[in-house]
Amino acid sequence: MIRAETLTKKFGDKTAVDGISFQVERGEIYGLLGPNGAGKTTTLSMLSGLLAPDAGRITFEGVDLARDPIMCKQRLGVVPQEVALYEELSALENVRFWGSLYGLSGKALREAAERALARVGLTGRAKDAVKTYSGGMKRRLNLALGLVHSPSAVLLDEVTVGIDPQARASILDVVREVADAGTAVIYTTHYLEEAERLCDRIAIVDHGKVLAEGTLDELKARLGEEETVTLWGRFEADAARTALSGLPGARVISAEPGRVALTTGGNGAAGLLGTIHDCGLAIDRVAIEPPSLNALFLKLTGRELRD
Amino acid sequence: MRVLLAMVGKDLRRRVRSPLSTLLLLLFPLIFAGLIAVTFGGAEAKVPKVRLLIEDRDGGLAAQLVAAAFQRNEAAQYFETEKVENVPGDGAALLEEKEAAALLRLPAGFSDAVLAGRPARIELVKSPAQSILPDVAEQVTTVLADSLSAASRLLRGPLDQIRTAPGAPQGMPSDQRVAEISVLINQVLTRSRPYLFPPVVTLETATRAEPKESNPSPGGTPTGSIFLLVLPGIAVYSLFNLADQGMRDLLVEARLKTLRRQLAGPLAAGRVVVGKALSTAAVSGLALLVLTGVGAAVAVRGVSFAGFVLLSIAVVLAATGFASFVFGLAHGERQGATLASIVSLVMAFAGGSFIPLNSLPAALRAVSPFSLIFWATQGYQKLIADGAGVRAVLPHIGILAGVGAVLLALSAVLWRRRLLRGDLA
Repeated sequence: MIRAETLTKKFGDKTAVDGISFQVERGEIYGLLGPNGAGKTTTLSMLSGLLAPDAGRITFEGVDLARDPIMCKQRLGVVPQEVALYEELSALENVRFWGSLYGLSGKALREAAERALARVGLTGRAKDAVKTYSGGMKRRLNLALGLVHSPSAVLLDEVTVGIDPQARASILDVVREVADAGTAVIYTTHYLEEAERLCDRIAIVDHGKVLAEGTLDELKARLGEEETVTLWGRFEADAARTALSGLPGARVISAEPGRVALTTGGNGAAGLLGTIHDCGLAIDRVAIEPPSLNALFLKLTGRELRD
Repeated sequence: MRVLLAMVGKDLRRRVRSPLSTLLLLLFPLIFAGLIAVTFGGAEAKVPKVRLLIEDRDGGLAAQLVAAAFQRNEAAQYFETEKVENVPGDGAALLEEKEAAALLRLPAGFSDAVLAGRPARIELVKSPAQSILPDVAEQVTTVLADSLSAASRLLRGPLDQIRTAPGAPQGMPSDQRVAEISVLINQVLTRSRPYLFPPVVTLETATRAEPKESNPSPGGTPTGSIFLLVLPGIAVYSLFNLADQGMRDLLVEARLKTLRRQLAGPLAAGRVVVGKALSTAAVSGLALLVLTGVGAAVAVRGVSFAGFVLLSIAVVLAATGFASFVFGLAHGERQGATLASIVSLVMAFAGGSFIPLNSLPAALRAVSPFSLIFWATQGYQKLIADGAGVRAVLPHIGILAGVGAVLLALSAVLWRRRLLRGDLA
């Protein structure tokens, strides 16, 4: 359905996207997981035709985006990270306007608008000006605008930023419904739990590159039985790295003053803790994390996703 | 086309829901023209008369002539005289009391001195409480004194006879004597004619044409006429501001990220710009319709319908093209707004929106034809004030439409380049 091949985009000397490739099928939710600045939004901007890639190719159902952008965009729904609405207008007027941009008119437009608003639970407030809406309602309407024309693929860019858990859950439910109806969804987020809950396949992205890709289980399997142990205390990074480097099976994956993280190498954290105690580091606190996306991200990038 | 209509409809709805700025721009020309009309065209706004007090301490012929000069013919339109007697001091108190502009004092012996060809003095006391009117009185009195001096020298012979006429205690000779003196004056004037009345005066009199039958004033009353004379210039200036607001909305939408969203849809970048230009033209056109309605309500005389419609279309095209070009050049919303305001203001000033063209300095008048607002204002004034037909404003329509189309085409290139480069997305 959606195919991206070695997409590359540079801004001056900085490479924002560095040879990213992936493919998303109908009914699949494909997550791009990475911290801010990882290149997720730039990738989506290229997929939505707003930015031309410096290299690489994008196709929608076999149609090259560069060759026939209008046809490709017609099949695509885009929900931007920002709430891009006309606040003076009502929700219904907003939805109808965006629907008409995609060629809907008359009865088809009316029905599509009603369906989109019902899907995000805004039917009761359809005629109210958007400026009277709460943040969560605006987010839901923002989503509805991208779905009004029933696209065969949807690009969702951090659509749950800054809203309460209830509104977030509601949006995630809608995204799941959309995918279940056969739409290909590309979903960018930096929330691990969202990616874990929602996405069928996940690509871990950092510095413009896909570091790992697969289903949640496949990604976790890359860690094997490894647990991640994080230590906080009064020590320097180099001292911690040196002290812990000799531990059997363990590997230091990140170290900074007062904090060091290491994988257990399948030996189990319990056995390792006694050895760590003998290393001479002044340790105040210890955390043991079972195999997880965060642990994988930490292992792949040397930093936590929230950093 | 349906998509473009949807874009125009969306923008019009947004304007209706947030109407303040549009209403202000619409009201501005009406208020401005209305204030000017009421100030300068009100029914009470006649030329104020110079209130002149005349104290004739002489009572002789020459003194009576001077006093009468302010009460006759055209002078009576501008002077309101009052005879006063026995004014104490310099008359300042009386001037204040009677709210007069000046006191003209003709001293005793004035007529004798004039008739004898001796130096005679007219005393004029100006009121310090008034500014211009006392000066008017002074100027007129100076002219009068000069005329009297000239007459005194020229008519020396006849005047001597008047002065020495028997039985004339107040300087008033008998009828027979007056007849003889008149003949004498006529002879003197006939001999002096080549020197006193040079040919140019004769020529001017001889070639003076019958006054043309003037058009009835467009507004009926002076207030209405001034309103209709002032309104086009200010209205055109406001239309340019409205158009600026319209094209600025592209940058506003870039800020709101709705532009980015539109560009992610199945629309070519050029279509988005065309949609905004159409919205801008629609708003300008509607505003023009409202202003025309107000103008039509005031007007008592019709204008060329074809001329008005064609000129209005050309004005909307020019305003839209100008705004699109300026905002296409500008790096940001604020920069565009500043640039558009300055250029519009200069064009309005040079185009005669605020000050009549003939009152502008020559240097500024020389650049007026470079102002789009000049062509628009002049075109409307030809139609409204002169009652001209469509032929008379064809050059105006051509220039406005031509420049507007060129600016739109240039701006389309600018906008497209920016949109494709991702500057606004």
